[in-house]
Parts: sequence; C-alpha cells; structure tokens
Amino acid sequence: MITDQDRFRQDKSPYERPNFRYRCGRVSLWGKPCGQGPNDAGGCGGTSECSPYFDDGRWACRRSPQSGGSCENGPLPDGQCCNQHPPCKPTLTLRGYRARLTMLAAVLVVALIGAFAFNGDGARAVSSLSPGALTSGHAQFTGEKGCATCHAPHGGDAAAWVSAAWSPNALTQSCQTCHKFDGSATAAHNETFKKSADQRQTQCVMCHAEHKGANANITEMADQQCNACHAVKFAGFSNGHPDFSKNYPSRRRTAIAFNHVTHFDKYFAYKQFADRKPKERCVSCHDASNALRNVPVRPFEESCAGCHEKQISKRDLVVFTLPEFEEDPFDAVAVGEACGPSAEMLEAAGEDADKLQEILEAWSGGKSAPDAAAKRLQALQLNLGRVEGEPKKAEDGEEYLSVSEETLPLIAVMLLGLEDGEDIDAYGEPVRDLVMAMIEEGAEPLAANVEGQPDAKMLFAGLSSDILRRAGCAWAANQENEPSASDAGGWFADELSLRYRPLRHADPVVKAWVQLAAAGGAGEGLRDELFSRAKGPGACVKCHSVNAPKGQTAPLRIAWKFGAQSSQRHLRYSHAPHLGLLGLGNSCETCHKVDQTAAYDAAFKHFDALDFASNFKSIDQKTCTTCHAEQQVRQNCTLCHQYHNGPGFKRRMTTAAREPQK
Amino acid sequence: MPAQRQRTFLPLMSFGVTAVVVFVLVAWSARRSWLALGEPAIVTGYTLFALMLLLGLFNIRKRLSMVPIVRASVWLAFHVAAGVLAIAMFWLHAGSVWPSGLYEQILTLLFYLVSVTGIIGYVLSRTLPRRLAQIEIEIIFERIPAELAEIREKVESLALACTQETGSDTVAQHHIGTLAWFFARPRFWVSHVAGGDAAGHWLRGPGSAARRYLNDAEKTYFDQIIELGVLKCQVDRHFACQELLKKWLLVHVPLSMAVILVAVWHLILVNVYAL
Repeated sequence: MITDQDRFRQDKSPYERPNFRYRCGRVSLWGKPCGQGPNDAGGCGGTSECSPYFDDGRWACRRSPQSGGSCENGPLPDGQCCNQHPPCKPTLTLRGYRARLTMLAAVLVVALIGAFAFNGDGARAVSSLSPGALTSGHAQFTGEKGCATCHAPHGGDAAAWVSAAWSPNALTQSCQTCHKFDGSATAAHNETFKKSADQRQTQCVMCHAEHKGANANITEMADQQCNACHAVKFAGFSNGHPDFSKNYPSRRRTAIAFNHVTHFDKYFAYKQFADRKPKERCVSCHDASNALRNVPVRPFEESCAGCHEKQISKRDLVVFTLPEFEEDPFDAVAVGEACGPSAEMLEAAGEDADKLQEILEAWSGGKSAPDAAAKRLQALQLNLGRVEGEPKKAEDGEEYLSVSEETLPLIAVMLLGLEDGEDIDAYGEPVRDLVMAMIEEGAEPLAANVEGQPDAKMLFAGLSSDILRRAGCAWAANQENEPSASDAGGWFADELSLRYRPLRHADPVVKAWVQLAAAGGAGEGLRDELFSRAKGPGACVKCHSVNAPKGQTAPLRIAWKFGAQSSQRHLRYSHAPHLGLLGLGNSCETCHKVDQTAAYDAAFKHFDALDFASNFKSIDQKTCTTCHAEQQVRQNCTLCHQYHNGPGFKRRMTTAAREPQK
Repeated sequence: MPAQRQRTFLPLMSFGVTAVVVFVLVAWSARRSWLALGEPAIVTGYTLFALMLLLGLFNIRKRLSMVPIVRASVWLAFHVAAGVLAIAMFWLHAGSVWPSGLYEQILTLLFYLVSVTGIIGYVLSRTLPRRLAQIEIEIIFERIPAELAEIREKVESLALACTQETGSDTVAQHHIGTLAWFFARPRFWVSHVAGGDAAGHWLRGPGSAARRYLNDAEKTYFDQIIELGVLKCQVDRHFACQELLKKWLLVHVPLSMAVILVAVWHLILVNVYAL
C-alpha cells in the first residue's frame, strides 16, 4: 500500500514487467492482480493462489509473500490449492496495444500500396505511382501508353525494376519521341562547342521537372544555374555581363542592301522623290504591328515599288543570241522541211504567185499569213533558188554574209557546253543543232541542257514553242527575226536573241536563273554577269545580298527574304514590348542610331556576310541597362537567351495524331 | 544549473547545434547541386530517409533497456533534435509545404501527423513530469490499479467498522451512495491532466456532504475515509499524467512506422522511375 513506508520490500512488492504484452484481467477492472499473472498467450495464469508442492509425504503451501505467504488451511488432500478464484480475462498492456497498432499500420500501408501501386495509368487513376499531375501539355500525349510514354520500366517485371533502379533513367530518350532540336539533345545548348572539349552531357530533367501540377512552369531557370557551365560567371545582366560584341546586333550583313543614310539624306532629298519620303520614318517601311525579333519590312510593293519597280523590267535575261557564222551552217533542205512547205509543193507551184499564196495559207493553217511567215517563206524560196527576189547571198553572188555579228551569250555557252562564245569554228555546229532543235522540238532541248540544275523546271517556264520556231526559222534562214511584242514581259525573241523580261518583282524565272548562278555550277563568268548590280537581270542582287557560307566560296546563298541572317540561335529578343512601351514615333532611334560614316554599300560588293559595316552604330549594353537592371525591369538570363538550339516537334500535334492507332 | 537539468540541457544543445550544422551542410550541398543542374532532392531525400531511420532507432533503444547504449535522456535529446531537423529537411526536400501528387500528399500528411504528435509528446514530457514531481507521493503506473483496490478495501473496511462500532449506517449509506463511485476507479482524468482540482472540490463538496449529520465517533471514521480520498486524488493525478505520457505513443509510433514504409516505397519509385 502506498501509505506503507516499507512497501517496496521484496516480500511485499511484486516485480512489475511493463514490457509484457498482457496484464491480469483484474487489474483492468481496477482490482488487485493475482499472484499468477497471465501467461504468454494472453490466457489466465491460473485459478489458484499457489501451486502446492509434495514434500516428505505432505502437500505444502507455496503462496508467495506478496500474496500473504503460506495460508492457514494449506493445500487440499489431493494437492490442490485451497484458495480458488474465478479465472480472469487478461488484457493487453499499453505496450501490447502499441505493438498491435504499429503492426496494423504497417500492414495497412503495405496493403494500400499493393492495392493502388499499379492501379491504371489514367490521369484520374488513384495510383501510388503517380507523383503528381503532368503539365497540361504533356498530359495530352500520355493517354495512349500512360506512364510508359516516358518511363521505360513502367509495366516491367521485378527484374526490369531492379535493373532500372541500378541504371540511369532513359527519360531524355523518351523526350525525343516528340521533341527535336537542331543538335544533340544531350549536348549543352544542343551544340558542340569547339572551345569546350570537355563539354558536359545534359539531360532534359536537369532543368525540366515534371509532375508538379497541370499549370506548373517547367521551363523556369534561375540565372545562377547558367553559371554551372559558363566559364564567365556573373551575378546579373547589369552586374558583370560580358559586353555586347562589336557591331551588335548587326554581326552579319542585312538581307536587303538598303542604305538608310543615302535614302534619307540623298535620294529623298531630290525634288522628284520628295513626295515619296517616308512620313513616319522607320515604321513607314517597317511593320511595327508584326514586330518580334525583327520588325519586318513591308512588302516590296508597299515599300520599294514606288521607285524601283521599273528597274526590274528593264533588265532582260538574254538566253541566246544568234552568233556570227563564216559559212552557212544550216542545211537548206532540212530547214525548209522544218520551217516551210515541202519541196514538192514548192516545185509544183513553180513561180505562180497565187499558188504560192495558197501553199502559204495551207501551211499556216488557213489563217492569214503573217508578214514574218511570208518573209520566211520568201527566204526559203530564195534559198532554194526557185523564186526570184532579194538575194540572200552577197552581191558578188559567191560569198556568204552572216546576218549576225554577235557572239554567243554566256548562258548559251553553258547550254551548249562550250568553252566560250567567240570561237566561230567551235560553236557553228552546236548552234545549228540547237536552233534546229528549237524549231522542231521547242523548249525541250533547252530544258534538257539544264536538267539536274537547281529549280530546273522554272528556268524555261512559259517559253512557247511558237516563239522558238519563228525565231529559229528566221535565224536558220539567215534572217533577222521579226520581234514579237515584249512590253508585257516574259519570253520573247528580238531580231537576233532569245530573251526573258521579268514580269514583276520576285519573277520566278529570273529568280531561278540567279539561283542557278549562285549554286556555282554555271561558272564564275555567268555568275558575275547575272550578279552584276548594274546589268544583272531583274536587278535582283542590287538589293538582295549574296552570301557565301563561312569559310567557303560556293554555293552562294541569296537572301531572298527579309530577315536577319543571324547565327545567334540562342538570342531571344522581341521589339514588340519595347515599341509598346516607348511608342512609335522616333522611339526606334533610341537604340538604333544612324552611323553616317559607315561604308555600308561597300559591304555588299563581296560575298562575306560577316565583313559588314552597319548603317547603325553598335548598340551599347548601357542602352539596355538603362531599364533592365536590379530593382528595375527584370533582367534574368532567359529573358534574352534561349537555351535550346532549334527546338521543335517530331510528332504532329493534331487531334488525329494523338488518337491511338486502331 | 542543477545537475538533472544539465543532464538534459547539454545533450539537447549539442544535438541542436549538430542538427543546425547538418542542415546547413545539406542545404549548401543541395544548392550546389541545384546550381550545377544536378538533382538536389537526392542529397536531401537520402538525408531525410536516414534521419527517419535514426529517429526510429529510439523506439528500439527503449526496448533494449538492458543494453547500456548511452543514457535514455541523451537518446531523447537526439530524437528531439533529429526530429526538428527532419521537419526542416522535409521542407527542403519537398520544396513546398504541400506537394501536388496524391501519394506525396499522403506521405506529407503522415509526416506532419508524426511531427505534430512528436511535438505534442515532447511538450507533455517537459510539462507533466514537473506536475508529477509536485505530488507528494510517487507511484509506479502499473501498480496504480492495485493501489486503488487497496484504498477501496480500506475505505470499505472503515465504513463497516464505523457501522459496527457506532450502530449508525450513515457513513456506510454515504459510502454506498456517493463515495463508492469515486473510489471505484480513477476519476476526474481531464482535470488532473489539465492541472485542475475538480477531484478535491468534489471531495470537499458532495464527498463530504454527510459529515454534518455525523456524531463525533462517526466523524473519526469519516475523516479517515476523506483522508484516503485525498490520497486517492493524488493517485488519480499520477494515473492521468502517466497514462497521457504513455498513450500519445500509441499514435506517434504507428504513424512513424507508416511514414517509414511509405517513404521506402517512395524511394523505390524514385530510383526506378526518375533516377
């Protein structure tokens, strides 16, 4: 008893064992426990207070001192204890309850994991495998294969899991099922940098962590993370960022050779052009409504045509010129059969003018014979010596006199596969064959000579056989061709040459010929002729810059479209917010300051795009840090730099493409 | 500083400082990994998992009381410091207080429940022993039922003796009608846990209401019964405080087991699917 000062004495105090799982049922009912206590299985330890022992022919009491010691009555004759009490129902101790609850929790967790571990793949499936919702974009493309779309071990057996646990994940390969780049997906910036031989391999998940929720921003990067690889480490754009390069941002030549200085200060100063001067300065030609990285120039028809359209149609493309011959290379009979009525018909007609007229009309299909055709017929007749008239031959009646004193143009030289166009002995036969082929087969033999060249189909597009036949027959008869009307542009033949006059800006035929010259297969002579800024057909390269690949001379690339030919693939800039903030007006000149002294035009006289003097002064970094600095407008790396090189998609993202194939 | 307090304070301070140092080192390592485009969750995750296992060792240590593996008070100090470190490490690992995935949310909920029950347990272990020390008697928790039974027997004996000696059954009637309820088992549990004296009030009020009707002889017995009632109040207080000190573990330990198992599955999934 607690009031007993001596209560912990050995014979009074039971030895408590709180780590036992069970306690006497009487204790749980707030009574005194019996001396026996429960057994290990949780059953009652006994209904007697002691277990008497047999000693020297008598049963002796063995009740413990804590229970009062030996009783007065002693054991019964059969050796049983005389103090019997009803059995109790032992209960768990707190430790026992704790052990059971702990076991229950463990079993419950294992059971729940087992039940829901592989519970489907759907976005709404309750599965212990799902660590969170995918971003809405990615969630659209996992419907068919579920988790296995990205996670290769998913759905595998235990061996696959063990293998996956001890090997690097293949998530980057999975990403490339849909995503693609202009370089290796595992190379930093998808580039191979010459200066960094030990460039580290990258994985998509280094920067893009999924399963952060449908609206999570998985492209966000901190500025400090860029310093992980970059040798030059700095705190921020306004604090340590390397200076902009010289001539920034115009490291490369512009696509269009437009000299802002001469146009504004010189040409528009002329009285005759004063009314065409851009009234809103920059945005008169640059379309600010579509401003992104570049502010695109409005179409040629809106910006340039007012002054330059007529120049285009003045520059003909001369494909063939009848050259001078020392002797008549043509077979009169063959020409006559190809170009005119048959020899039998003419012989039958004799010198009867009416008969000849009938023949002429029959030859021309019943239509009234045009003058040119009549002259051609007359020439044929003269050739055959059947009709009296103007002699084709020289006055002395013996010597051949060529109607042309020209040489072959370079295009014809290329078509005929000749060395040059001035060797009369060399070109006689090929020219004859070409002219005869033109008469008999139209443009096909011409096109056959350029087969395999880039854009070959466009080189003679629209060239009619009639033009070739008429001109060919005249030239084969050593006569000047009667020029057809050519004001509208297109193919035509004048007295001695076959020409093409550009119909408009971006004429596809002239473009194809200039492109052919740029490809390098036509030789430097022809290239220089077509690229002549003063005489080139269509005046294309007067404005469109021609660029050689870095370290090479061919093939040249013609910048047909406006747009910066920038190699800064990782630069990201948009004019739109800047124009929106600064306003239109003269805001462009806040950053783009005209350089009056730059040798702009000289930079377009060669093919090196990097040897360039911009019309504008280099933009200084301070121009940007005026606003983009700490405590001002944001200046994080990804604001201006794009990590990936040419990111795109391999798969089509249409609804049909996403649906599982049946 | 008293020796007993010094015995608990010094280990707690030592482990606390160590926990801060570990946290700073792991956070620094994780940040370095993050800056190097690595996976900071690896270092924080494995550290957290190791902490969970170390925290679980405390329960095993208590089972091995016969083995001298450092004093239990040192283990408790370690458990407290490591527990607080685990909470900080969890936030560092998860990057938020509430993750997005269902499984991670369950793990987080369990972790928070373990943490909260742990904090409650620590608060109880710091406050209730002081209250127990203020009680005049000391008693082993497991012996309380037997002690109560003995008090109950003594009260009943006094009531019988009073009836026999005085010939009046007033005390016996009062015992049967009122006091037997009080002596049957521990009463006023909440009041005792909260540090109140509802039991004393009851004893002085309804419990002693019959005293005015007793003669001197009866009062002698009755006062002895009330003295036993006061003693029973102290035993009840012991019972309430000691039971609470033991019963909070019924929540904390099973939840800890659940958290460790859920974390193990999380670890397996991460290694199979993500690393």
